Amino acid sequence: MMNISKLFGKEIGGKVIESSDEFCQLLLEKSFEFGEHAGLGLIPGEVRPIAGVIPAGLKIPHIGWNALETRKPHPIFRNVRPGNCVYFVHSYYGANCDDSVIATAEYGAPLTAAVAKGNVCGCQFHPEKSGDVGLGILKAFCEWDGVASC
Amino acid sequence: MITKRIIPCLDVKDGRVVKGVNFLGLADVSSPVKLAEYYSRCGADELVFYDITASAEGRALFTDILRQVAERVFIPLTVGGGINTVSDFDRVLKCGADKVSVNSGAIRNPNLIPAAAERYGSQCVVISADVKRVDGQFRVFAKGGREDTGMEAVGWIARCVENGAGEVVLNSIDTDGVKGGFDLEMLNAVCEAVSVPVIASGGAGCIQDFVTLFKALPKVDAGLAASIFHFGEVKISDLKRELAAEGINVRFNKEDSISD
Repeated sequence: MMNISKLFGKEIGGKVIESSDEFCQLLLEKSFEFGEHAGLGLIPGEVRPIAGVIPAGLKIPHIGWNALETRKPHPIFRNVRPGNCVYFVHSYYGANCDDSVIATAEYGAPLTAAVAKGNVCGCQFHPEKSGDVGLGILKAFCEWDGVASC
Repeated sequence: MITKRIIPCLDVKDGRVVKGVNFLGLADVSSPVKLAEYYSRCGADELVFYDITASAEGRALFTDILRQVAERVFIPLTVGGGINTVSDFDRVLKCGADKVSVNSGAIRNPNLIPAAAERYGSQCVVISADVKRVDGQFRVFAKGGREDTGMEAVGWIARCVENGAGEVVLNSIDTDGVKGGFDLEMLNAVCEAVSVPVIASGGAGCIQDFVTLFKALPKVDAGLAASIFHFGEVKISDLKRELAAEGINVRFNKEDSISD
C-alpha cells in the first residue's frame, strides 16, 4: 500500500488514470470485495459484486469484449467511435457513482465502465488489452491537459 | 452487449508454433511473435499460447517469446502448458500473460486452482480440460490427451470452477483435428454445469462450424482453433463478417467499426 500511496502522491497533482479491478476500486470510497475495505475516495461510490445487478444466468466474471457506451463526453474518449469494443474481465463494478460515470457497458444491466472527476479518471476495462481502441484511449489520456471537463 | 470471442491457439515448442493433429504429427508453422501480430491485426479477440516444451531451455525460450509478444500485441494473452505451481503462474504473469490455463497441473494437484485463485483472482485462472468419451462417459485426460485419468469430466470441471477457476476451455479430443465441427454435445453438458465463461475447442474446420456453435449453444462464449487459422483455411476477418451476418455479436477492429 505504501508504494501505491507514493505513486498517487506523485500523480495526483497532474492527472490520474487507473485501469480495471483493484485500481479502479481504489479510486472509489469503499469496496465489498473480500470484506469491506476503504478506498482512496477520490471519486464518490462503492465497489460491489456484479451478481447483485445483472440477471441470473449471465456468466460471472464478465469476461470479454463489450461495446463502450459513452455517457458523458470526456477527453479520453476523443478517439472512441460508436460501437468500439474494449476488453473487460471483472466480477465487481463501481456502484452509486452515477455522477462520475462517463461510460457504461451493457451486460444485462449498464455496468460502470469508466468514471471521472476533475483530473482523475478510472477504467473498469483494460485499455492496455483493448487493441487499437484501447491504445487510442491511452493516447488521448496522455494528450489530455488534465483540466476537468465534467 | 458482450461479443463472442474468436481465439487462435498457438502451440509453442522450442520457440516455434506447431500444431498437432489429434495431438500427434507436429508440423512447424511460423514465428509466435509474427503470428500474434498478424492475428491481432486480423481481429483475433484473444490469443492462447500453449507451451508444449519439455526442457528447461525450451521453457526459458517460451517466456522470452511471451515477453516479446506482450510488448507488441495489445489483446489478452492466455498461457498454458507446464503450469504446475503458483510460482509457474507468477513466471508467466510477470512476462505479460493475462490469464493462465491449467490442465495436468490441476489434475495432479487439487490445491493449485484454489491457491492461484486466492493469490491472483479467479479471473486469471482458466481450467483447460482435454476430454474424451470412454465407455459412454466423458473422461478427463492428462498429459496432452495421452493419459486417461478415469475421472468423469463434467463433475470435475464443475469442481474446478467451484474451487476458483474463472473460465473453462473445453477441448474435445474426439473432435480435435477432425475438422467436422465442435463437440456440441460435450460443450452443452459443460455449459449446463458451470456459470463461468466456456471456450469451445477442438473440431473447427470451416466458418459454418462457428456459426453452428454459437447458434446451437448461446451459452458458449468463445471459439478456439489453431490449424485452420494458421494455414489460412479460415480468415478471422471473413469469419467475423459471416458471424455478424448471421446475427451473432462480434467485435470488429477500429477501422472496421461503425462510424458516426
